[in-house]
Amino acid sequence: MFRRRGRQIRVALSREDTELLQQVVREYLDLLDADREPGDPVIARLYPSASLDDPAVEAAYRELATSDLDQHKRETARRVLEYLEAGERRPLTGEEQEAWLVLLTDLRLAIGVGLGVTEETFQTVPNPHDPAQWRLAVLDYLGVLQDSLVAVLEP
Amino acid sequence: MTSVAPTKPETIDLPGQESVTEPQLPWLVIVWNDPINLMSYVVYVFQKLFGYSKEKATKLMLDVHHRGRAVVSSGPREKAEMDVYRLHAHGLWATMTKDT
Repeated sequence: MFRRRGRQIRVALSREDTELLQQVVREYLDLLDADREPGDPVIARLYPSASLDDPAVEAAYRELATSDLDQHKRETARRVLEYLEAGERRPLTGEEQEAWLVLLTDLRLAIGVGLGVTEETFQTVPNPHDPAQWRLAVLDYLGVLQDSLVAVLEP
Repeated sequence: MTSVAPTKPETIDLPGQESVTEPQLPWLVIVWNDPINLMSYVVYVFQKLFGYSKEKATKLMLDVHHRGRAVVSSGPREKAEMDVYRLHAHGLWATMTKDT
């Protein structure tokens, strides 16, 4: 979980949680690198349309934004992965705080859309020991982690 | 929902013609509800990206949550594109549309 002391924000993670996060971030980077099937709902959610009714607006936006957005996502994921792999628990820099915040969002979107979750899904707490619910439990854990980060950040 | 500030029509003077008044309608940036993003996070993003107060950001988040969508900013097309990009870069589902 993320904690603030004075101006410093740190993250406290067990070794198991650190390994889980590294695995999830690597899976996410693999997803970004994989061939993209047209209509893949996860990719559609990570790279959303900018217009629902105007193909010209949509095309102009894609031209302008997609490559930057893609680069932004990869840099964000690599920054967090480097922090996790370094194993040190120094305070997070401002850039690292931002990277954690955004990456936790994208990880949750990738897992959540992949599972087809709805708002009802979050009414029950998944059992991490049930293999059928394991990814839901990861999604839940990432949400708790992100909530703890939002709570210590100042916009 | 937010109200949109009225914009002044832009006057273009063409040589040898009467001046033509072309109203510059603003573009609206809309955020859509999704079942995954945390409410606390969405409030934080609205505060950070648009400088809104916590109260205004919370109201917008609740509009998105309960009504399915909310207009979060407006302005010229370039600004709307930039706002959509910044929202997408924060994992929110945003679109832009010309005000009518």
